[in-house]
Amino acid sequence: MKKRLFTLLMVLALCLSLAPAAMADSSVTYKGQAEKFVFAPGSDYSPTDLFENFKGVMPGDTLTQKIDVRNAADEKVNVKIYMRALGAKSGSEEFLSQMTLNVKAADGAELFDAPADQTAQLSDWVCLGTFKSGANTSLDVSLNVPVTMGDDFQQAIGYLDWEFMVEEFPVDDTNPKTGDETPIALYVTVCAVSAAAIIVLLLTRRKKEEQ
Amino acid sequence: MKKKIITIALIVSLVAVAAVGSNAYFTAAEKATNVITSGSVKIDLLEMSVPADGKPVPFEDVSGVMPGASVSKVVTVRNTGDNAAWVRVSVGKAIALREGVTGEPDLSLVRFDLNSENWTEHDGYYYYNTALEPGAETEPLFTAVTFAAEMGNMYQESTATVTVLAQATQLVHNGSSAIEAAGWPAETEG
Repeated sequence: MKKRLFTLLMVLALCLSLAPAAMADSSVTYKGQAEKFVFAPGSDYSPTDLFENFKGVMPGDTLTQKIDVRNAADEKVNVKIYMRALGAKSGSEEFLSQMTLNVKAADGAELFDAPADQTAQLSDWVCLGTFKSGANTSLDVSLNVPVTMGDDFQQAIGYLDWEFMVEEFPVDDTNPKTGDETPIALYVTVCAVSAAAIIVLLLTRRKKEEQ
Repeated sequence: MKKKIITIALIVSLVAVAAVGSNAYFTAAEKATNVITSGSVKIDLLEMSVPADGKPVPFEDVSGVMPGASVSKVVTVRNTGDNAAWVRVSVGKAIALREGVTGEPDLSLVRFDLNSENWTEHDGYYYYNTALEPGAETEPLFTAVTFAAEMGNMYQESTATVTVLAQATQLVHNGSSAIEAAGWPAETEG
């Protein structure tokens, strides 16, 4: 009985260890200024392919792909990571327009919901967050292929580009963008100059009084 | 002393400006090319004959067939794609009488040993009862064509034609049987 239980536990452990491999996420990893972004896993079609689960799709399919976005740069910098869609590559538009793509941020916010050939809500840069070294977030991508997609699209290949951008800044400068465009730098400069002028005036007055 | 004070004030101002200047960011951008591919449904219609030595060979036209004779013709379908499929086959027959002979040929005199265990006739087609997995081959729809013994002189030097057409449609998201399935494509003639 004890042996059987042990065997059962071993099988369970094996299953659990294999499960993550079968459900492997794609990843976008920022590795600093030297290496920049690393995209995984890639595919035979593109070394930067993030859509591992969207191969051999069939009419009626609804498929999902999780993408891990991570800052793996050194600890001296924080980063803001942005993404945008560049749309379908030439020749892919007709096939990709058959299906819809949905992208959600980790907090559930919808970043994109449109036919896969379009740029839609990701036409402009969208900030995915501010990340300390080692921090990450995820994107949940789902692909909906209508059952009406016809035989003309059997064995079709569609290419669509996403672009990722990073802003790297020192660790103590982590204030997130708030949308307030007030020119703080100008005010700080004016204050500093004013303070210097006041000091000069005070010292000048004291000198006059001493005389 | 005055000169010193002005110098200190300028330094304070420059430090403030320099502090503001340090806000410049390093940036980098890179592109990921993502790829979506579609699958397919592919089949081959196989028509074989089994001669006396028992080794199947591709079927070829047969001549000089006499009434009551049976011709080996084994009809199967193979799934050559990457996805499981539902399969159906239609079978047509025609008889062209020798030139100069008049009359309406009786098509029922050309018969098949239809496999009703694995195939179901419905709406002019024979539907394979189970899904056909990639690489798999159906059981034969029939294995022989028989020319009835009652064929009279009217059929001398006539030509009988058997036309077999196979179709497949995807299994996923497409019903629980071949008869329920939709989306049948253009026919593949054997």
